[in-house]
Amino acid sequence: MVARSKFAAAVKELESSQPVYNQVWRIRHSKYPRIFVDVLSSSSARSIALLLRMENWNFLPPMASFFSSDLRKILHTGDIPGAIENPSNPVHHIVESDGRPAAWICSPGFYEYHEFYPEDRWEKIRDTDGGTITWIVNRACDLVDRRKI
Amino acid sequence: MTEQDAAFIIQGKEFRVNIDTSDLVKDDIRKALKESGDEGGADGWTARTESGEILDGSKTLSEQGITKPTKIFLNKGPGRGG
Repeated sequence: MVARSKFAAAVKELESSQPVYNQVWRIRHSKYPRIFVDVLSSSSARSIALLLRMENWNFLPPMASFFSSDLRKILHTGDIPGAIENPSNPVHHIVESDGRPAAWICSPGFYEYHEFYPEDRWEKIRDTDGGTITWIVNRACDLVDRRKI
Repeated sequence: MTEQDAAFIIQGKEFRVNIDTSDLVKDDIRKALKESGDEGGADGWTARTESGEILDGSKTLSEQGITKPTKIFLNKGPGRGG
């Protein structure tokens, strides 16, 4: 019940911040516990979709994955070369390992990161700017090279 | 030297700041953060254009080809990664 009401508040927050990011991302669809956000290309009309699974928001941070625009295919780092972070980068923030089926985001604010680095506790950022859903969506978008979508 | 109003987007809110395109971007960031109520420095913040290009804080906007009114997105860096 609490998670549902916090989810509704997160969607409201995203809707309210969406207008200033209208060239970067837009909410496609939201229904507890999932939000699909289109990450927009900056060089074409294409997009990819970011799925945030927020079953226990904000007791836990969201789990995130990327999908093709038609939502038929979960994306791997090599699916859109260079757009979903280049695997040759020395520090990876979108990675594939740890037995997960596709790319996941290794950055504060995402479930997988805090599970991977349990000493970096989500509780420390949960009630700060870095723990808001707007911040988290923008962090995911920043990790994608939108010129290459 | 050209003064212009730039829109800095921080945490879903827009802050209009008068900047000089010959100032270093890190000084513009500091100015925008101050306008937003954040008195901390520019360290750890990343500035991007609307198309997602990262701006170099140690250069001016003009040096990076930005001479007209623009929207600049400020976010903290992505952390240590995997």
